[in-house]
This record gives sequence, C-alpha cells and structure tokens, in this order.
Amino acid sequence: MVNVPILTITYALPLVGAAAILLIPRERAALARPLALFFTSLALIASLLACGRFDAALAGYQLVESTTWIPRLGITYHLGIDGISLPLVLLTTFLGPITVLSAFGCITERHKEFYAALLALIGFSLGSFLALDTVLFYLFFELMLVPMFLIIGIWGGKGRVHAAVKFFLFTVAGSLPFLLGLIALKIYSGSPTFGLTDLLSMPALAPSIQCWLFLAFAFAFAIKVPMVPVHTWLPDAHGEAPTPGSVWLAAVLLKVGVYGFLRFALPLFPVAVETFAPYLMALSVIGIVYGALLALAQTNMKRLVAYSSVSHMGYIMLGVFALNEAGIAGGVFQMVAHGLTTGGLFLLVGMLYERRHTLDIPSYGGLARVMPWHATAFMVVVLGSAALPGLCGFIGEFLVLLGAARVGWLWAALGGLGIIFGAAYLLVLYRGLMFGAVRHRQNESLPDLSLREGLVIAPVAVLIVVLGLLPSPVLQRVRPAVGEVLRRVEAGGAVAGRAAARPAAPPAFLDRATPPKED
Amino acid sequence: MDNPILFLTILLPPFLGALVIGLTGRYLPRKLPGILGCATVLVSLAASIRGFVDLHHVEGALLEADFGVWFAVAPLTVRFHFLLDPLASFMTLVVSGVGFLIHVYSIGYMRHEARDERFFSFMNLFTGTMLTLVLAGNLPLMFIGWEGVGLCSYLLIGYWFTDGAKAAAGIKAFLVNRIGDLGFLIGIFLLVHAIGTVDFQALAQPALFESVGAGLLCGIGLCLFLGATGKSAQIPLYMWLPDAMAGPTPVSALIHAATMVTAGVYMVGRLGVLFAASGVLPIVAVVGAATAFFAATMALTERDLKKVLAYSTVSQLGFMFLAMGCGAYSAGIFHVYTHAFFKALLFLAAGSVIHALHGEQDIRRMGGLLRKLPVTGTTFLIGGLALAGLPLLSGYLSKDEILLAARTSFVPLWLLAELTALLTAAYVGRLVWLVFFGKTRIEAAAWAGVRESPPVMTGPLVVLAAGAALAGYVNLPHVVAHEGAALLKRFLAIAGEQAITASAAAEVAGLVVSGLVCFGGLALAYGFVVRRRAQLHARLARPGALGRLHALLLAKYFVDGFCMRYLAGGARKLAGVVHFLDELFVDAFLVRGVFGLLVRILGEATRLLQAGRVQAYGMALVLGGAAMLLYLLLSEIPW
Repeated sequence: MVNVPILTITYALPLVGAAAILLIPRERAALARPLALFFTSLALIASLLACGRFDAALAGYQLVESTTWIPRLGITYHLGIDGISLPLVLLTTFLGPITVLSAFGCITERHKEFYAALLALIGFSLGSFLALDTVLFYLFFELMLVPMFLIIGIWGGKGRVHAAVKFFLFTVAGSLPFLLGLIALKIYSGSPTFGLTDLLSMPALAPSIQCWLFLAFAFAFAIKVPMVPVHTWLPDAHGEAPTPGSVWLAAVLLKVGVYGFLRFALPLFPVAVETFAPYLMALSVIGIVYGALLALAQTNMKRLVAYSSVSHMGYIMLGVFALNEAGIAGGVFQMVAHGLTTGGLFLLVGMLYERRHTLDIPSYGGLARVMPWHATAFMVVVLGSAALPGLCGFIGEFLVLLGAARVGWLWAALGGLGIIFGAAYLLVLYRGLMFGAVRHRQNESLPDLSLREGLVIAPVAVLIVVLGLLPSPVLQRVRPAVGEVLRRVEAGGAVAGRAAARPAAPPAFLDRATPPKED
Repeated sequence: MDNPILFLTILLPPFLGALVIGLTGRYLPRKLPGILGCATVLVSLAASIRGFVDLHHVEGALLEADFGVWFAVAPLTVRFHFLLDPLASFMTLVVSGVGFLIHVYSIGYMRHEARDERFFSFMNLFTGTMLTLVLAGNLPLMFIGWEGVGLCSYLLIGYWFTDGAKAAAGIKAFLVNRIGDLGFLIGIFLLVHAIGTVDFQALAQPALFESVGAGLLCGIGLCLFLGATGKSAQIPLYMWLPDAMAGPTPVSALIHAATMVTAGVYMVGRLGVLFAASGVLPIVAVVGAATAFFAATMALTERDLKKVLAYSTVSQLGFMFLAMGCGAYSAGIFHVYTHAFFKALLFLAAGSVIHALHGEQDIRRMGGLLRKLPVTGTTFLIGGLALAGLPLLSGYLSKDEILLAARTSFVPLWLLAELTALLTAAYVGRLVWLVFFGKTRIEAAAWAGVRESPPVMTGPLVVLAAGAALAGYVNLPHVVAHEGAALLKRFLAIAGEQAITASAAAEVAGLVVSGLVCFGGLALAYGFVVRRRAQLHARLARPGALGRLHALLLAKYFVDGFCMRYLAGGARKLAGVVHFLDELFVDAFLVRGVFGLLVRILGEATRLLQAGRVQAYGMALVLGGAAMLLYLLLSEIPW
C-alpha cells in the first residue's frame, strides 16, 4: 500500500478518462457524461487519500515519486506535494466533478470531444501542481493550453475564434522565454538534471543571471496570472468560453501562474526576487484597483467577473511579493478562496445564460423574486467574493493585506481600496440581476435551480462558509511550506551579500511606504 | 471563568433561527416564521439576563469562552474567544431586550406582507451578528459582527427590493460602511505591527502602549475611529443613514437607532485604554459635537417623519461620541442605553403612524393624530420628551452627564452641545406638534379610516415608553445621591475612563441649565411652529438670509448631493475612462507594442485561421504535442 504512486494516479485518472471517452463509439456518445463524472470523482477520492497521507507538520515535499525519465537530457519524472500544492490539488479535484456536472446543461454538441478535452484539461492542471521537475512542469503547463484552446475555440460564443487565438498567442508568447530560461538555468547552474531539488542544491547564481532568468520566468507566469498590463486576453477568453471553460480558467488555470512564482521563481532566484518585489507589488496594487474599476464599467456579466478576477489575482500577487508568512500564506489561501468564489460566480452566471442566452446585465433584473434559491446562492458567493468576514474570501484578503502592511502600511491602504471597489461592482451586479422590478416578460417564468444545478452550486457555497469559519486546517498545512520558501529567499538574499532584507524587528514604519512609480 | 454554555445559548439561537427560517420559512405556515424569530431572541435575552446575574458572583466580573483557533499565521493568532464583562453584558441586555420587543412588534407590522420569512431570517441574523460584535474577545472576531451587522443592514434596507431606489440605498449604506471598515482593518494591521496583539483583554493594559511611538498610536486611533464613524454615521461618513430609512420601520428602530449604529460607540468604550493612550480623544469629541450640531439643524427642516428621526439619531450618536471623546465612557454608554429605549420607541410609534396612514411619511400631510391614535400618540410624546431632555425622563439624565463631561473638559464644545440640546427640543416640539396636534391636514375620507394599531404593536410601545421614562434611574447624578446612585457607572467600570470632578454646585447648575434648555427649545417650537406658523412661512418665502439658510438646510448643506455626484459618479466616470483606455491603449497599443514583432508575425498566421479553421489549428497543436512526446520517448530508447 505504501508504495502506491498516489500522485500519479490522481492526475492520470482524468487523463485515462479522457482516453476512455474518446474510445467510446459515436452512437454511444451519451456515455461520455457518466464516464467523465466517474473519473473526476475517482480523482477526487485519490486526492483525498493523498491528503490523508500528508503529514501537516512537515515542510518538505511528501509522497514523492521520483525516477529517471530521459537521462540524456537530464529530465526526471519527479512528483511530490507540499503545503502549497496540496490545497491547489484539492481545489482542482473538488471542482472536477462540479465542472463536469455544470457542463451537462450548456454543452449541446460534440459531447464526446468536449468531455475528453475537459478531462485532459483537469489531468494536465493536476500534473502541473504535482510536478517537481521543471521540464515536467513545463510540459503540463503547455499541454493545458491545448484542451483550453479547443474548449474556447469550439464550444465558445460568437467571438470564440478570436478569443481562443488571443488566449493562445499570449500564453505561447510567455512560454518561449520560459523554456529558454529553463535551459539557461540548467547550463548556468551546472545541475545534473532539471529536477527542482537538484537545481536548488546548486550554489547560488550570480545576481545578474538571476535577474535575467527571473524575468524570463516571471513573464510567462505574469501572463498566466494575469497581471496588469498583460491581462487583456482574460476578458475575451472568459467572455467567449462556455461555462465549464470559464470556471476552469478562473478557478484553476490562473493559479498555475502564481504557483509557478511560488514553486520555481521564488526559491530559484532569491536575489532577483528581492530586487523586483517592490515593482511586482506595485503592479499588483495597480491590478487590484484597475481590475476593480474595469469591472465597475462592465455591462456584460462574464466580462465583469473576469475583470474581478484581475483584481483578486492582484491580491494574491500582492501577498506573495510581500515576502512574509502572512502575505504568502494569505495568497495561497486566497487562491483557494478565489477558485471557489469566482468559480461559483461563473457557474451561477452560466445558469442564467442557459435560461436567457444573454450576458447583458440590463436584460435581467428582479430575479430574486422569480428564482429565490438561485438568488440565495448568488448572494453567498458574492459575499464570499467581497470578503465578508466569516466567509473564505475574508481570510485570504485579510492575511494578504496584513502581510502587505508589514512591508509598509500604504501598501495595505492602497490594496485595501479593492475591498471598497470590490463591494461596489459585486453589489451593483447583484442589484442589476436580482433586484428591482422584472422588466422583461421572459424573465417572469424562469425556472429556479434544478436538482442538478443545486448539486453543482451547493458544495461550493457550503465550502465558502466552512473555509471562512474554519480556515485553520488549510493554513496549518500551508505555513510550513511557506516557511520553507521564505527560508530560501532569505538565505539566498544573505548569500549574495545583502543584509537580511526583512528583519523581524519593526522596521522604520514608513520605510518603503511609497510604491515606486511604475516604469 | 469559563462558561461556554452561556455563550452558546446567547449566540446560537438567533443564528439557528436565521438559518432555519431562511431555508425552510417558505414552506412553514404563514405566522410561524415570526413566532420562531421572536422565540430565538427571547432565548438570547434569557441567557443574557443569566449572564448579567452570574457576573455579580464571579471573581473579576468576567466570563469567557474559547472555542479554539480561527486562524493563525505569524505574527497573529486569532481565536474564537468571547468575553462577557459588565460592558458587554449591559450591551447584550440592550440588544436582546430591545431586539425582542421589536421582533414582537414586527409580527404586527409585517402582517400585511404576503410572506415575511425573509424579514425574520435577516432580523435574527442581525441579532446574532450584533451579539457576536458585542461579545467578541478580539478585534478580528468583532469584525465578523461588525461587517455582519452591516450586511443585515444592507439586506434589510433593500428588503423591498423590487423598488430599485430602496436597493440602491442598501448599496450606499454598505459602501459608505466599507470605507470605514477599511480604516478598521488598517487599524488592526497597525496594532499588530505596533503591539502584536488584538485581544481586548491584553489591550486593556495601559503599560502596553508606553513603548509605542505617539504618531503610530495616533494613527491606530484614527483608523479605528474612522471605522466607528462609518458604522455610527458620524462626519464624514454619516450620509448613508437617512437613506437607510428606506427599510421597514422595525429595521430603522432596531438597526438604525437602537443597536447597530451604537457599535462605534461601543468599540471606543471597548478599546477605552487604547483610545485614551492614542491621543485622538479630542478629535472624537470634536467630531461628535460637530455631528450632533449639524444633524440637529438638518432635523429642524426635514419633512419626512422617519428622516427627522434619522437625523436625530445621527445627532444623538454625536452626543455619545462627545462623551467618549471627553473620556466619560460610562456617560456615552449610558446614553446608548437610554437612547435605545426612546429612539426605538419613537421609530416604532412612527411606524405605527405610517402603518395607520398606509405609508404616508410626509409630516406636512399629518396633524391631529393624537385623537385617532391615543396609545401611539401618548407613547410618541413620552419618547419625544425623553429625547428633548425633559427633566427627570431618561434622556435628561443621560444627556446631562455628557454635558457635564464636556463642560469639565472643553468649554466651547459644551456650549455647542447646549445649543444642540436647544435645537433638539425645538425639532422634537415641531415634529410632535405637526404630527399629533393641531388641525389635521389629512383628507376627510382618509381621516375616517385611521385606526389605532393592534396590541401586538402597541404593547411593545408601552413597554418602551416605560423604559424611556424610567431607564435613567439606574444612573443618578452624583449630587443627588452621592456615590451610591451611579449604579451603572460603578457596574460598568470601563477601563480607561477618565474621572470627572465637579462641585455639587456646578452639578446642580448643570441640571438646571439642561432643564431650562429643554423648555427653551420647546418654547421656540411653540412660538414658531404653533403660534406664528404663517408668519414664519411668509418670512421663509421672501428672499433674505433666513430663506437662504432654510434652503441650505433643506438641501442638507449640499453634502450628500456633492458626494453622490462627484465621488460616486466620479468613480463611475473613472471606471468608464479606464475601460476605454484599457481597450484602446493597453490592449491595442501597449501590449501589442510589447509583443511587437512576435505578434505581427503570428498575426499573419491568425488571419488564416480566422475563417473558422480553428479545429484544424487545434489538430495541428495536438499533433505537435504528440510529436514532442514521441521524440522524448524515442530518445529514451538506447539505439
């Protein structure tokens, strides 16, 4: 039992499911749905088993699976989880069956191909969170693109081709420097393999090399997150993707970018991280406010939620580059919280779209009377997203801002503007959809949540509350891993002859309080 | 002493009630949600009384309960830790006691609605979150209650959500509060940074603040006070409260008069030592006195029955902050308590009037209603006189304490407060006269149909009227009965309270002046509103200084209009501009500029694909991926 490669099984299950779905004969295509549900549920069970074996007190990688794979190129097959990847893996497997179930309502053609693509997407996403070999990560990182591209391009809305191509071009543009950076990293460091543990055990790189390589990595990850100003692919992709695609994009795909920063860029290039952290914090704060303002200007509900993602992802990056425990742990928690709340928003918005086939907010109004259950679930998710204390969004944003305040209180004050604007666009969205009189006759008779839709949204809403009140089980596991990342960043900074950048004693309080101007 | 059962019996029933009524209410018989809602609050009230009694037998007068860690990250561990000290106990009595009466009244008030389960679910949720706010043992936990009551306020202001304007008023309340809440949050962060704890018990140690820089302490105090101004509708964040009157009247009574809006005052008292050490108390006093004055002037000319009471609430909250700012914490809490009685009474009685007039709220279309609504009218009169500070009623006693504190700390503020008290008596006199006395201005047909409200509504009015008259006797002035009579002050014993010393003669003088001011204000109202109403209107209609002043007051100093137009509207405009720039500049120019050549080359490829051959493109991608995998696989084989 002990030697069962549970991580490989976790990510392989959806991939096997995808293959199985592709193999069913065309006249039995209806089987695609139960099969997809079956395999994603199995993956959820597998990940829960892995979670059961995970020792919360340990800092390093656990359940490690490591073999040589392509020795001539120094590529290894190396999987493992720590407290940073575990919550993301669980978020991914939790949303798997939910996303599949949500697809039942909105996918009306090419069922087989759709569920195969969706399961491949789920499998590759899991793989990217599990990989500890940089090339393996790169493979999963790139492979995710293919099914996502197809899901937007084939099952999307009117502008799907443009959106899919834009999504693809942006991401590929980031991947190229990332790949070159990887190869350069191996050459410069003299590491025998691309394995992360090998790379980390090499002597520190020269600061200038670190900076160049960090920029190459950061470019790829920043596009994925996305950070302002490379965010413009996101609203198009969200606006056109079908509901399950939007859910997956917001809830999981964007997290891979942040995860890349945390897993690779921070530990590998500590000196560069210290150098660039203020700039990245500034970009994050700009992203928070900018994204929120953009969301306020939208009349298309999916684009509104997409821009809210830009704002919320800004919080996560702000926490990560605060480079302290509260900030990074808050960022990791916020990734889970954002996955649930934004995923939930796309699910609920998608249910409206299935009924009325429009994303235009003014086409709705007064739905709280017509669809009370939908309105109730929507309220819970909106409040979770608006960081109401007691719901999951609050823990993440509170810790992120606490971490940012430790760098300088002005960071927290500027980032905190997002909680005001965030409440504004979310409540305005809610009023637009749910309150007021019913203005369109079609809306008079819209059916409330079906049983299937209830099963889709109820687990999300419940988890939003549960994680808000009991975040400790997650945070307990996150903290040791965050401590490990911070230890590397600080050690790296010290090796390079810099004073330990963030002393524990209170620094001069207004130190670094003014964000550097963006250049 | 640990007593988790007590805390659970206070806190859980309203939350469970909210959940059960909210989820199953629409399948229950019509009247059951209301009864359930009252029952849960009654359980809380009983438990609160039990806690109050127990407190007298406990060493150190402190009960607590710890339900484990909420979240912990270096440098901060936040526990589900609840405290019941005299201050908290007193507030739980006010919240659950007044809350229970208002729940009972609501059964009558909401009986014409088709369904009321949503209403009682939200009211229960409010009671639960308010009790959480009061009992919390640390700031983040208090913040759950703090934003929780704000949420309930938002939900209940917009209760009749099919009316777009009412839904908008809810959003306004929530957003203005969020500005304050950001201050609250930053205050917490600064506190963590400066002192490393957010637990109320730890923060009651004055020694803790000695090593902290004055500027930082001042910053903490100001940030937390900004939070208080949001919740308690003080300058600069007061303008949401008059709009909040869009909600059902029991909501105005419970949330926007008796309990939630006093949360800011409670918070200052809870952090009394911190505020005393921070040096921001003078600012608190000035803001309080200024708010009290300006709100009272606005109440003078307001024509909407509920909005007069709303401005009056803002004004009375200003009095409370004036007391807090003078370091007279128990005087502020005393006024919270008497105000809860008479203002809840005034709102409920106003609700009874509005109910009888089928929704009419304009006092220019009322008059003479005492004959038709004897119980409502009498109780309203008692509440009004308590508010005006008629000697020996509750409001007189609590306001006098505040005026005494102001006089001993800062004379100009005292003068302003006395002037405000004069205006208070004047607007109360005007309101009571225009609604209940004189010749009616209601059309004959409607007049014939006016009926007194049912006992389920008038009952709570009578109980509250008794409270409004007598509640002040728990805390008599020092001069009357020496130390023994200030029961409340001695019971509360709030940490950080500053002793006020005044000679007996000065105290008596204060009591007399307060009485004279009240009669003076009532006389002003009698003179202008009753005797010379026609002349007054003629004067106001002519161009001149008085007319301009009247216009200024009617427009509420143009503050609200300015904020809505330039701040709220400005944010929207900014959003539009940013949106335009994002599409034009960032997306079309900057991003493509950055990508430069790469995109241009790939763009050519894109153009070929725009014709819907995206599947082919996808296939190429898949094949490419497969080829890559194949290569890796082949390289594995040792040739």
